[in-house]
Amino acid sequence: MDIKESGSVVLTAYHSYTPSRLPIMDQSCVAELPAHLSSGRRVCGCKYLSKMILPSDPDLTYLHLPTFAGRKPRFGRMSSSASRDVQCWQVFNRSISQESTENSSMEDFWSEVRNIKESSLNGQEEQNIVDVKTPDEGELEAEWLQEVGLSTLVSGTGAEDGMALLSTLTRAQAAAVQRRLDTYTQTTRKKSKQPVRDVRDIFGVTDPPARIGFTVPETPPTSNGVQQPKEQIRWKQTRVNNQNDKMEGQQGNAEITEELNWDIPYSESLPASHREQRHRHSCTKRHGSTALPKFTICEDKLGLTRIGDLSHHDMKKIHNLTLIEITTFFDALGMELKKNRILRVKTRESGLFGVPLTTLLENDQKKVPGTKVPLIFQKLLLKLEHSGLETEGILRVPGSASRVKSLRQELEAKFHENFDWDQVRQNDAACLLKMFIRELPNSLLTMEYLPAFSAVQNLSQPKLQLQALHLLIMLLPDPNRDTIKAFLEFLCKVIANEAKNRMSLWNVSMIVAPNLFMCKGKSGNQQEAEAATNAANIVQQLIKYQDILWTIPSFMISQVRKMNESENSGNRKHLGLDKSMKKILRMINMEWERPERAELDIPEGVIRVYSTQLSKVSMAIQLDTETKASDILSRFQYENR
Amino acid sequence: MGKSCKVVVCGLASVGKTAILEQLLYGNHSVGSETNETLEDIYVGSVETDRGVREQVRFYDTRGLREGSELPKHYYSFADGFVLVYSIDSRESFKRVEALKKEIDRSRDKKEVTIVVLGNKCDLQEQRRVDQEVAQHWAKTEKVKLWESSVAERKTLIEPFVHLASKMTQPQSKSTFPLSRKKGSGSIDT
Repeated sequence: MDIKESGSVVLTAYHSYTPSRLPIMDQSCVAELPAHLSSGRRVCGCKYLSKMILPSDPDLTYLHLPTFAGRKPRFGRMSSSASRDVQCWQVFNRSISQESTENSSMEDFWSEVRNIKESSLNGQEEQNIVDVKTPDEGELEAEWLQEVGLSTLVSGTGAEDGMALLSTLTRAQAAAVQRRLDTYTQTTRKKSKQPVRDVRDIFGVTDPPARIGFTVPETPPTSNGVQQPKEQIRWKQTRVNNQNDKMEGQQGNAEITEELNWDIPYSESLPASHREQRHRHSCTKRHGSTALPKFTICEDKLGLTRIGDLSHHDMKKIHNLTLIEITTFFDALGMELKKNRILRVKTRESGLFGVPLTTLLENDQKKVPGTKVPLIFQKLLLKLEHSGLETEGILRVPGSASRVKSLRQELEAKFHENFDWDQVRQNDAACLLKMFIRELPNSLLTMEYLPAFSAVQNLSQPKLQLQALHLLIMLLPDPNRDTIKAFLEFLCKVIANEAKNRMSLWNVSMIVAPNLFMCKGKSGNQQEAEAATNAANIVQQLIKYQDILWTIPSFMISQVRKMNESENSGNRKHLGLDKSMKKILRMINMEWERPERAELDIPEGVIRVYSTQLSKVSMAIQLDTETKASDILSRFQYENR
Repeated sequence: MGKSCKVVVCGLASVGKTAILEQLLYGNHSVGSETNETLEDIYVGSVETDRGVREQVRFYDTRGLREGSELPKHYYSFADGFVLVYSIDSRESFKRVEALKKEIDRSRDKKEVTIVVLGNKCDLQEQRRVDQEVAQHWAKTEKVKLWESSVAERKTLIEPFVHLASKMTQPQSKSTFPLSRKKGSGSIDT
């Protein structure tokens, strides 16, 4: 744990403990896995595909897409069944050419879509998991309240439970909660169910309630009640994608650098003009890294908190807060936070491809404790990093379908034993990587929030888009977030080698987009084309701003801090703690207080060294005048001797 | 991370606690290599249980006990399992194990913790001071498992630790029925 960074952001009472990633395939941990041959189904997701049925004629599987807008595609032979599809392509061309020439560069996108289609032709297709039916309003609100962690408002018991959370909300956030509770109460009344507690009981009738009032925008949220000086020392974050900075430097673009203020919740800092504005349908057709403005984070006095720094317990609170915040944010922009409902689909419980992330991680953690990104995924990324970074057209150039198929079967059978990675070619590995992402049953960006991700592009300003994306990333479940991060880091490396592999930020985004977004292209090609640009734009932003996106904004940290404080004071009165909370607190005490007390028994001159990466995680070492750092290191590295 | 079991390895000084752990986890301990006194080291290992699952275990390697020094009290309260180590060439170390067992019984419920006893250095037969029969008899009356082991032979270490991990992580459902519990524990412990 990096003391320097996280030391200052420890929340109220306890440290966060993040089990580190152990080196992949630790020798001592590799275990034999029962060979599961891939008998399971293959989930093929891309819905672009279901729209564009390729003819069975073998010649036509090698369609050439136009290299620039307006040029007619050439075909060797055309069967009558194919002509319809061809028309569809032509419509594409026209719509693209009418809009702008920039879109012609979407060629890569569509050819990637085609590749996906081809690779999935052999496997049976699985139709969408999304339930179209929308539940009635009251249900939705109840669900929302529950997810936000205010289920007590719905059930009407344990009045104090939610107070800690509610007391930290800003006025706008509180209003959003209130609105939802209102609808909920109304609908339940309509259904003549038991009356639910009135909102006024919770927030009080008199307008600015004392406890809610203290995070209004004028006063930045403070830690520990100490007022922060208005003029903060701000320094630009140099960490933000050095590689990207360099790239832009070469292009010689004078970029406007915008600073993100994290003291104020996003929903509060919206410019007034935006509050009323309905979202416009004019998508800004931008592409290329040149169009993306640079953002910097201003360093909080208490340091930056990365997503991995917080304990699981605090992350849950962050999740709750984010959900409230993003609802408020979208409300203020007049957008609806669309959410897909998930229909549970039976998925494979073992294997590698088409297995839910959580199951995959559970299995992996038994082999390598503390795994956060599935081993197969790590291994594929590692393979590509070692051999593929300088390959021209890496990711874009498809591998051989038959080779990939047999590799996949081999991987499923003996990935955990002795799979020979040397035999895998880069392009095949890239293909497997994309296949892995595509076949995740619940999409890497989660089916629930996929529409919300796409909606981000409808926001007019890049800054707003970034803020919305940021909140969405916070909302993702941990396994998804960690896996995406690993993936984005890899993509960054690919882009850094642009000179050799000729894959620019935009190129990479275009290839990755159809794999991540299983967009619904229901109504016409015009919209499909738009969705495609959208998707690619989002991926581009994800890659470029990943450092910002994976940092928790300080307004949330201070909200969580406040929550913890008021919870602790409640704890003293033995109020407002349910069983699970007590259990968590007890666990934390076990984890942290005991060892600290143990240190009291240790005589002077003894230090305790933690090394979460090794299997010897902690050591108490007696220092003398001769002790050097290397001596301590060598004692830790006993296992490598 | 919350689920990993905590095992405290304790016993008299220089009976080979650290050697056992390092041989078990890394398999590269060489017999007779120079020793450093441990203060407190913590290892994380994963042990495969007899049910075939791997369980993560935190091993607390404690400072060797000496005449007049006691195992710090906090160890008794948080551990899920204990490995009591003695050396077959030292009667005193066995006495210490007996005392430790008593102390554990005093502070913890019998069902809460799993205890295994290791008689280390069983390769030094000619210097044996602790009779194997006597030791096994004691273990039987105390209802704990006892093995004689040697760091020189890694496989003598595997069984005790697999047993320990299996017992610690045993599903609780069995023990909720008083009748079946008696049966179960009887057949395992004897």
